[in-house]
Amino acid sequence: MITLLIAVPLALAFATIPLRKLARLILPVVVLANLVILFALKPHVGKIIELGSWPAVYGITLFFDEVAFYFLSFVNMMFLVISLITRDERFSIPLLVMNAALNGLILTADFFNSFVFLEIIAITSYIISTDKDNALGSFKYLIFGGVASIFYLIGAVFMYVQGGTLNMAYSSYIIGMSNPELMKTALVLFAITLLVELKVLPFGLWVPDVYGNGSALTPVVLGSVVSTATVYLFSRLSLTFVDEHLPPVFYYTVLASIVLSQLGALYQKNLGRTLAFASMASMSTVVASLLTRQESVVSTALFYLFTDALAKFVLFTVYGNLGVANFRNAKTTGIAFTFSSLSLVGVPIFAGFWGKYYLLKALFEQENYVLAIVVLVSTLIELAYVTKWNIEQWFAKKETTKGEIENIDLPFVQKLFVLLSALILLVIGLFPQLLLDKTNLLAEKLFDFQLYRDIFFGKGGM
Amino acid sequence: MLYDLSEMFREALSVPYYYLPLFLVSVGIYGIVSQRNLFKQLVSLGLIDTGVNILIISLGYIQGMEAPIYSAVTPIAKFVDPLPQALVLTAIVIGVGVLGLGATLLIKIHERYGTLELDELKFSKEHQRWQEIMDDEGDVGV
Amino acid sequence: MRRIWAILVALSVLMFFFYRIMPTLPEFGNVEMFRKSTFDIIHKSTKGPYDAREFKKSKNLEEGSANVVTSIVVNYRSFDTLGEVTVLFISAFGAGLMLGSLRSNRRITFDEHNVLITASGVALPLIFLLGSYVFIHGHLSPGGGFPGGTILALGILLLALARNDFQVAGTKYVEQISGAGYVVVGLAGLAISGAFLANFLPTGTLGELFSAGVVPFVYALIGFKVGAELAGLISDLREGGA
Repeated sequence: MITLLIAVPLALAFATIPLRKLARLILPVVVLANLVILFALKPHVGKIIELGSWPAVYGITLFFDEVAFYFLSFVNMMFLVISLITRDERFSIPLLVMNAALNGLILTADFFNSFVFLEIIAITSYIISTDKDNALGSFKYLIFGGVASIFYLIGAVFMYVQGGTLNMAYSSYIIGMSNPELMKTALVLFAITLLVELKVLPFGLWVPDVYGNGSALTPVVLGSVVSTATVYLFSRLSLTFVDEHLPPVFYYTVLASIVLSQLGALYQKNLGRTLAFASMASMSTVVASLLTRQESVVSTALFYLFTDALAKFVLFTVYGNLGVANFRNAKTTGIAFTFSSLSLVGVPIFAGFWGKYYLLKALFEQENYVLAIVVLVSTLIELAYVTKWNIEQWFAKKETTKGEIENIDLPFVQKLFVLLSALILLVIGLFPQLLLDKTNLLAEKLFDFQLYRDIFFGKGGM
Repeated sequence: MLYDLSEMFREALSVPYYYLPLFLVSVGIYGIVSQRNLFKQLVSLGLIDTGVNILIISLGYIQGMEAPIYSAVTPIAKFVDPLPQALVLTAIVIGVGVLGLGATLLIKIHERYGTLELDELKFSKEHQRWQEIMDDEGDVGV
Repeated sequence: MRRIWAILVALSVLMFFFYRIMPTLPEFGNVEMFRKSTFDIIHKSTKGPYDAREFKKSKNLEEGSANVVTSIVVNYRSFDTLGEVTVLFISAFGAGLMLGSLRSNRRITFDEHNVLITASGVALPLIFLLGSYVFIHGHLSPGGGFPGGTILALGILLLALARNDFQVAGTKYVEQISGAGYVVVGLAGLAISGAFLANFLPTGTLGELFSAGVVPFVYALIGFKVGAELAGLISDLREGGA
């Protein structure tokens, strides 16, 4: 039944090609239906679905467990919000297809199938990033993404050549038993591709051009939804299937990426590019924490990821619709913006504070002082530019050419969701245990390859 | 004598089948990093795609086996590995999709900036921004 | 400077392949099929015990197409193919979107030539015949929906080259019906056999035209879809938006 999450959006995307208006109306309904199906199936977590009823080794299998459930519900909820605030009917069909592909990417348990879904997501992202006539940024993204995806393809075929099957559980198990060194090679290949989507610096050079051009849709979709799904895939590959660290060169690259992109954010004169660099920095922090491969750190990294995605959603929506705004005439929006940016820095009583606090606590417990210091330094830089931009938007007297203060505000629906997200950040900030319990569970399950295998092997096959 | 020749031929062939595609991939990567023309970068991307596809196909080859189709000539299975071929079919189509989209993006870029050279593009972008500022000020005058 | 960087990057990728991947690959032309899952796929015995299969003799197998690549593409890994169709669909859609927003009209025209006009009338039915043969026989011979659809689109390209006033219309409806049809076939599998994209028709004798269950139908749908998408792409590029 969980297949419907992929099949229904796809079928409707195909069926509404000549009817773009209908596609825009259908999109929120489909995402809502996805959420309904998802919650109806919650009691059935921990199952595999063999497509075409072929045994898992030969065909393609979907894997639905608790980790997938929480990621799917987060992604679909964000998608519901995006579909409600998007008025642009050009992108309805790409968004439908992207929804199907994101669900597929999270559910699939097959290396080549995940490559196909990654490519669908990449192509829809290229299309969405042409918003506001930004063909050049989109082309840059296409070149980065196109080259990177080759490595994923080689990795998938490498797993098949060594393990004899494309199924994630079986081939990782076979290779892990016979020659764990090969898993490391495959992981390097996969990581190169995923780091492009995860915006780690040398691979993420496309980000400022794509995020910072003033579109309201592109950074919200790419930053909050696609990144979350990619983090899921990355943590599955690097934590569940492989028992070893990536080569240290990756770890140091990611650390450098955190500092460099925070500095980049500080030196930008354009708010959009500042936010683009800030989102690269926070994504690099998440990746660095995942690379430590310690359960407590991974749990806080997921906490940080979810709160950060919410905060970035607010910031990018406000910037995309208003540009550099004047908040004295748009107080509600301004409060939401300020709340989210404070949460981003990690000011107490906001969710971001707990994200950073738990992260630092876990790092000190694990005696990983390098990453802790990098996170502290990056927080200081973050504080500087967040303060600067908040002051700019609240207090600077911005006068238009006609000599009167600009009087624009977000449309009602956007304002509602922006405020709602800011309030969620506040609530999580007051009761962090709500989210932390969930991320602890997720981290525990992510490290449990035994459980993952048992679900497959218990079902027979091989 | 003839056997020796065929053996030598096979030896000679077996080297390029793995190394030539990798060479193509690295030529493509070199092209993407070194070229300043966007269209040449797209062509390099196509080159990388081709190289990887050849590599995957050659990973499924088995000496002396037939194409994986049951037919009057090969009624019983004596086949090479069909899975890499199926994967390459998918990979080719995905490559076509990416290249087609890239080409239309280039048409769009060329329409907007009038060039595909990165150096000229930078200049043209600044020029355009300057022009837009001028236009805005012109509006104020009216 | 840029070239030096380029050489460094390319060399490091090459070095990675030579030192980490190449030594672990099997010798060329000497793959052990017995260690692979495909061994059972070739012999069509993934659900039951191993049995040798023979052309035109084996009946009612779990999977009935004589072309093993087709059986993987449309049956064992049909879900990948659905994704692949989606990739082509979404990139053709994106190209149309991009070209539709061009400001200037850049319609491409040629000098019409009598030879080409006359010849296209003769060749077009043959091209369409070949295209549909390729995708209808996709489960028996080399070919299938993707090459078949491409051949159909080539026929359209020939017409576009021959006549300046030729315009493609209605591809969107073909895409709509065939694309949704593929998913509906999958959902029918879910309803009848209990698994998405399952084969719910009898598979017949290996190598007959009417065999392999849903495979020929799915391949025909893919053929029309690919043909319509590529024809739409050709027409978009030719009209230059407009």
